[in-house]
Amino acid sequence: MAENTCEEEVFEEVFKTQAEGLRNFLYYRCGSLQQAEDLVQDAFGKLWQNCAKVPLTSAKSFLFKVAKNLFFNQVEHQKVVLRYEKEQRDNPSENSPQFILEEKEFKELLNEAIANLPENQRIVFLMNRLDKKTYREIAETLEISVKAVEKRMHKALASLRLVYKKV
Amino acid sequence: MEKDKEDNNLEDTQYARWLSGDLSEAELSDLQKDGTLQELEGIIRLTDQASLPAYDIQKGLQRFKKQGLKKAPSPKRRLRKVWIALSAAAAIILLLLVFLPGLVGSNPDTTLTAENGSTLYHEFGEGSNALINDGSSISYNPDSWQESRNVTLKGEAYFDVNPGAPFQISTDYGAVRVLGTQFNVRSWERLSVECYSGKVQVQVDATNFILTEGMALRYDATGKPSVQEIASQEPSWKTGVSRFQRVKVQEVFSELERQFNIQINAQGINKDFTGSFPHSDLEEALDGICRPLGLSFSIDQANNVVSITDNN
Repeated sequence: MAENTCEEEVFEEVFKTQAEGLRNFLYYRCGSLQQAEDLVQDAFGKLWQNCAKVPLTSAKSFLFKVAKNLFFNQVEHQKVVLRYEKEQRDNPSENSPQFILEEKEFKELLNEAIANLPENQRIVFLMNRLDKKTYREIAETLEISVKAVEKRMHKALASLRLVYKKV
Repeated sequence: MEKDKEDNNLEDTQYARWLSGDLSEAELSDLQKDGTLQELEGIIRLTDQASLPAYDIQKGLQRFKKQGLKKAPSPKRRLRKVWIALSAAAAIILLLLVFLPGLVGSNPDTTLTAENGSTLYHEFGEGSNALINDGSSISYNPDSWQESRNVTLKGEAYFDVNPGAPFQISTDYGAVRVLGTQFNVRSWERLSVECYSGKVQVQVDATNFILTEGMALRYDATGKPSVQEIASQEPSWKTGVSRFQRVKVQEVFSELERQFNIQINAQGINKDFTGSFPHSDLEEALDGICRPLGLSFSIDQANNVVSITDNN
């Protein structure tokens, strides 16, 4: 007998395995962590309401479909902003204030460029770089082909290269 | 020659394959030579330092348990037992239905259409209602109405929404979300919304606008949306008048066709119109539109056709 998402234990397991990926995906779309977390609650709410109709194997696909269709309860689409950790610098020349300043400016330009990517490309790029998902995993989650993922990734990188022209 | 063909196919995924280590030696050295590799490496090196704040799964789960779990009413649990009791064949049918386009829910939507020349009033059963304008239609799923009220709108309708489950209207040009309010949604050529009471959120492309009482979403000549004040208490078409502000006159003709259930031949006329026409009298309506623009019209009563020409 297929496991039923109406059972609390099963549902909890789905939450524990899917919630973070879902939140990240939603954040890449809307740029607000709070909103992404709220939408995760909404998506799981819909899963719970429909638990009798959604078998365990379809739960992830259901969640992402619902997430894609959720209305963004916000005045403005916020820009996705990446937070950078401090990097260990072994190379002494990279410790100069000049270099650090240039890199800071470059990071800002890069951030801007990532935020301005078309949503499709941005999502694929960030799922690969931040969520550490492979092209295959991304293809399965978004229900597109691996080739499609590669094309979006390529376009994203091609756009980000343009940042070098601004420096 | 064959290699060139292959390269063309692979070009649009080249950087992606570089990233996943799927590049041939030849491709790698090409990228190295023209400096692309350095730039790509620089980008990746920086973004690899980036991260999102960790998601607190336990906290999210606790939050859901407090609020989200409550939403499943007990009838659903009875439904679950029935589902389990079904035979294997029936279970497969249920699965197939889940994967049909249109998400879950195998019940057909209810659709209501107002014919040209008339408006249609519809009650949703929980105190909300809609007045559907000529030639427009709404559709929704009555079964899921309790949990989330989603309506698809083609054309124009006036909604009076009782507070309750989230109320959402989808159109070809954008979406509107409501909280208990009265407002008009017009989506013939673009999404225009007028809020007469309460509060509405409108999503057009990737932008969200909030409208409160007395405000409307309108577009300027370049098609750029903005929020403006409106003076009237309800949409003019409810009281038998259609108003327009700086729109292409062809749009006005389309509305005329819907209101009077006629056909208008007015090819090639490309002026802007600001004004209104009454729904009560076709001649008066045509006169109000044509005279200021220097157009003349003739009515073919037998065939319900109006021809409009430019005098200049």
